[in-house]
Amino acid sequence: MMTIPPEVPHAGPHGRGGRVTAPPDTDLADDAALLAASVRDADRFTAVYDRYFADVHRYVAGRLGRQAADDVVAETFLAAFRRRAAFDPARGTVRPWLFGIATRLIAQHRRTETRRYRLLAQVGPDRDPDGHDERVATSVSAERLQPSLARALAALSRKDRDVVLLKALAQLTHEEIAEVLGIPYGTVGSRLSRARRKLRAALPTALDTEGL
Amino acid sequence: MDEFQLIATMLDEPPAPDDEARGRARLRREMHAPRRAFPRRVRMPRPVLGAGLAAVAAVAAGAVVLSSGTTPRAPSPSASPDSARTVLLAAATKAQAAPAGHGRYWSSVTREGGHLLMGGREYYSVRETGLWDAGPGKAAWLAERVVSRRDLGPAPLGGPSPSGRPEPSAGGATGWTKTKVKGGEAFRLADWEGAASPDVRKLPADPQDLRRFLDRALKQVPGVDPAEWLMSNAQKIGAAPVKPAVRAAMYRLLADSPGIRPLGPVTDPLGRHGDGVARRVHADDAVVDERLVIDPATGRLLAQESVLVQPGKASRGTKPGTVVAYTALVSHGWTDKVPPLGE
Repeated sequence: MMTIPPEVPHAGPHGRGGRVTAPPDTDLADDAALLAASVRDADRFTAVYDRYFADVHRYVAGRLGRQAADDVVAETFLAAFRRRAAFDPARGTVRPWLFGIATRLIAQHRRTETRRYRLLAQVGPDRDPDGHDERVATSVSAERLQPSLARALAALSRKDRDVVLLKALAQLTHEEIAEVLGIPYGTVGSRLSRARRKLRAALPTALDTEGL
Repeated sequence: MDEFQLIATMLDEPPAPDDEARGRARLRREMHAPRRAFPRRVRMPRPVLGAGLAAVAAVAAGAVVLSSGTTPRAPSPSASPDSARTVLLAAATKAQAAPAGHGRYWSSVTREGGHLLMGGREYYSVRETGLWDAGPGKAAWLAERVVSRRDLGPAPLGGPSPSGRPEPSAGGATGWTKTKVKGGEAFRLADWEGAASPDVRKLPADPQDLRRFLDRALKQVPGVDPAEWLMSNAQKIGAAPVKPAVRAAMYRLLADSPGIRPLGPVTDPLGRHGDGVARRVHADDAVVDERLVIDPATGRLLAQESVLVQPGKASRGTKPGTVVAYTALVSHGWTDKVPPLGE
């Protein structure tokens, strides 16, 4: 019955937009309506899950790893389900709202997150030799940089890291990140550029990132 | 490629093939676990919640339900029904005397009816779910199948049309699909906002202790009425691996709860005869009777139903008396074997 499509479209970082399952703008109103409808009819909420599972999973699994992601992704949607009546479409759209919930849950797994980055700083590039050949082939450069990048990520403050990963993994706009974290729009920009400077400084100078 | 793309590449963890389906099953299970702790002003409409009670219930109900005699049942005028208290105390006595049973897995099979939104259309469907759970930290199996599914037309409010997801066909019965899941689900009451989900094995068997336990737990959740909590958790406790005395204590607490009235002899969604009790609740602008059907011979809870009394805006043409959602307990108990469903 509820079978998964054979290929879950997976953007990886290589697609231009990268927002694989994000709806076009015309769907945003539907999102809010869907959520509102799910207040009256709980089962509607599974449609929110279907729409955003891939996005939320990419974000959570990226930060915590696949194993911890199982629980945190489930908790994210369950928490969203429970708070769906309180969702206020005037204050933003559903997608960033979900990432806000996920971000707060991730905050409870700080140790898991840093352990993951430390591990990534150690292991070699052959994390996943089967199944993702294309990804591996196109991300050789990234893998060479992985140890330094992972170390730099682990060294970021929690606040900077939230901003960086909401941008890199969730691909939220500055406005959306501001909304998710409840910080001023301008702060998003300054945190991002500060974090970017730190990350860039951590990368080997021989590799000019512009040339990748 | 900039730093952010490098990070995205490095952290990329595509989900395993069945992650999404398992997550959906889990979400549905927990969504439908009984709990009533929504923000006070925004009460969830009973009809739907009832559906929810069924772990997997949402899907189902319509045609099957209506044709199987669950539609409006006026209490028989000839029999003056016992009071709800008498019915519930009798159930407590029977439940207390029931054998506890033993086995490796706690199993419960439920059939649930309700509305489902999928691929831009709305369906009324009946679904069965079986859970075989060896306990926390051990293995569990979750099996599901769609019994029937009736197409109600396009989903309202421009429903979603997730890419690549096949729409179910009308009639849509499916075979069982069985998934290995983390054990322990059956041993927890569904958690409710702000409160930890208690292990059902910790529920006290003394009614007064149980009341204190619930009062304490519910203190963390403002606005939840204990009677309401009990009614909505009855099905869960009824099908959980608790000692017979705990089930009896639950009935005794219900017997002392205000606002529960007897319905006399009723038939549950599976056509089984039982005694009914009901509690009337207001859900936004609709009025709904929340019903329990109990087998007087064994004290087993047979089903929980939400019956529309007075339609509200969201009822969309549903007539009063309609069972808008139900959960029927097909079977539950300890067993050593997981049946080879879907294999």
